[in-house]
Amino acid sequence: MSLRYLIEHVSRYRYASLASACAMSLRLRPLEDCRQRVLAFAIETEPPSSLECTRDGFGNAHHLLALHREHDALTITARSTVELQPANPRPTGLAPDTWDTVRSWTDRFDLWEFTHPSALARPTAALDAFVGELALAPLGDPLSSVTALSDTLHAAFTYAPGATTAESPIEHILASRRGVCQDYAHVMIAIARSWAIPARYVSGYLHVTGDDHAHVPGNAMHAWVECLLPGLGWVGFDPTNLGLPDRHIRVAVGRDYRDVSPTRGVRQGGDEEELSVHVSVRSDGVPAG
Amino acid sequence: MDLDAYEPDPAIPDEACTAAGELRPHWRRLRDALRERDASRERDAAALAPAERSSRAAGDLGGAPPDGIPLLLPERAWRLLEAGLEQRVRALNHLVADLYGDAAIVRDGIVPAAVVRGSPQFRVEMRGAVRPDGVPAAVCRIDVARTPGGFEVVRDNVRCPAGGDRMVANDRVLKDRLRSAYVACAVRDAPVYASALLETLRELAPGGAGPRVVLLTPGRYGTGFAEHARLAEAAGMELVTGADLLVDDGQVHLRHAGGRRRVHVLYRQVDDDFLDPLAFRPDSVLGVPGLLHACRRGSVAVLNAPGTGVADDPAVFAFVEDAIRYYLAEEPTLPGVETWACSRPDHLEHTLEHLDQVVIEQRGNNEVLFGPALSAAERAACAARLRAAPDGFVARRVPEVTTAPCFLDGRLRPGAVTLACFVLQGRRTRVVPGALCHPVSHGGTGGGGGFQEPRRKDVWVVPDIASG
Repeated sequence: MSLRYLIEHVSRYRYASLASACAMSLRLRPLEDCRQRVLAFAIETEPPSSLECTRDGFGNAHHLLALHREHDALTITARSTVELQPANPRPTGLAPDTWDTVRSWTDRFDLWEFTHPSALARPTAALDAFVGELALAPLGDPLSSVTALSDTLHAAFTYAPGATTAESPIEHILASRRGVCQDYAHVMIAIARSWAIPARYVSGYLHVTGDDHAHVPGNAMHAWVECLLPGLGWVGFDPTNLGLPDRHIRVAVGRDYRDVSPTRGVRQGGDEEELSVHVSVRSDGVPAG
Repeated sequence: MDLDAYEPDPAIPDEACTAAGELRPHWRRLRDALRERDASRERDAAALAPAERSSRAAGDLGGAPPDGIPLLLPERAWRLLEAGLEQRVRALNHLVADLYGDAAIVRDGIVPAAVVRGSPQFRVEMRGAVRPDGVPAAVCRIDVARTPGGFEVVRDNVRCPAGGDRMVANDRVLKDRLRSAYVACAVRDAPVYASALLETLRELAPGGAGPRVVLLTPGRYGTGFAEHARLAEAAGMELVTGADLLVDDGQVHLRHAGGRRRVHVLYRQVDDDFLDPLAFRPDSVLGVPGLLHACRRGSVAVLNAPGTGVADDPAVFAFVEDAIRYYLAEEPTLPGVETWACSRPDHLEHTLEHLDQVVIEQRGNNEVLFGPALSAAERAACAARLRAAPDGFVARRVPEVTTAPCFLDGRLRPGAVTLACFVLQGRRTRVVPGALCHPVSHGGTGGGGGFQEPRRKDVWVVPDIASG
């Protein structure tokens, strides 16, 4: 049964002094596919700005915000209404020969960026040591392997907001074993790719109810991982939270955080900035019809 | 100084002289014209010596002075070269547009995915941003070796190749100084660059009449600034930096005191990495935030398009002739020099066995190692580097290039000649000839890239004369 979600994502920038202009890249519009439909979407800014939408190289909706007037604060509010179909039940494992299929994808032109290292998800000496210490190794089939990987990372790391920043290299979480969803995702992507499994970074929203114990960032977007698996397509894994990612609303996909950052900008003047983000996700139940 | 005094190396075919040491007919015309000129008591030494003595030339052109003797190229040979270059650049444009679109050439198994995606110049950000019929590579410099049998391409340069106007300014200076010879030789197709560049760029403007074309420079502290300023002035383009431009309502605008004016074509001399801090390096202050977005919307033509550099990757080079057959259904008329991708074990072994006969290039790096010039120790160090990371290296054969008379060390000596041809692709193709002259090293040719800075040389396309 599908559920409808209402999402409000507010980013408030305050500058120490007047800025004369700013340009920002926004990736805030939820993506659409057979599981996810966008019923409504709007971005408002204060002060008003020019907003234009194109698609980026990964197919994500990308808005360019341009504001060429003096301002010392900027508020970006994105409101989405999304209808989400439940995830297909997933098998516990696949046939062992699916490894051959997965390995044959290493040379695929269109999957290259998801099978090779990227800036924030790449093999390092610290990652090798971590993999050795936890005896992480591929299992009999690719699905079991990444499922076990996600569970292992969940157990190995402590969720600790503030321990790292959005663009922290994986060395930070590997050293302290503390981090947030971005770090969990980057580590999982780097390991999955080293096993030849195509892996990508997903940014989006997670709906939690009162009795949930999910780790969900109250002041930012959530992040998790999708792996491409034979016969199943892109399958989601949330190493930060156990269980199937079935209340996860996907916004953008990319090689790592850098490709999907929700707001990225440059401006003239303004000096120091202060950013506060508020995300609210609620469900109003089953859509009519 | 007399061309009759010129003595080429008998072991190397020469442009001016036959194997018997006789000047060829069109070079005799040049010799006679120069003699007449000497006889009429014009300053002979001053006229023929490299342009050091001409403060105007040195001041105008910057860099090393051009060579005082043109390279005479018979028209028939030139037409062949021109057709081959035109064909190659058309295919390079198809290739770039395809690689950022459906990548049909990869899907059809003509070019391996690893060759393209292994290139540091491939930009995933550009996927879907180049129209299938678009012209991402408007300005190309194709380096061609003149060989006894014809021509061989040694390198494509399709990022933001510089030097076109300088190459052509040679022509004006030399024409002024050797006016009688220029007339006597009946030089065809006097090359023009700046105006041809502007016409080309205007042809690629998105819709509408009277497009505004600007040249984006990294700024006055960059190495190429003098050239950018000169070229912008010669072509009648506005010279701008990233700070002069802004993107609003999906269009690129040029700020000025009274407001802003829309820009239709951006001829950029800023590298991909620095072109748009929202798409590429976020710390770049040389680019225009949002430029890629405007480019994607098609409201501005950015030339050459970001990501075009994938087409001049040394490993992709080996597939350009296949690309010509694939996209144009034509046989390539201009061969590329043989290359070996060290990622293939057999090619690596071949390279290691022939290090003294190849030029080694590292992908994504401008470093070039000229094998024949390496000492035994350097060769061993090079072999170790290749073995350690073979994927990053490509070797190409040093072509057998012909020589031509050049002023080297104050006298006429044979120099190995590489042509550096600028090809401007707008709605039509314009090929601008120019040449680089490399000093010949002892006992061999220096063609195809040595350590010494090559000297620019002018190319005069002259009518064919029946040999005799």
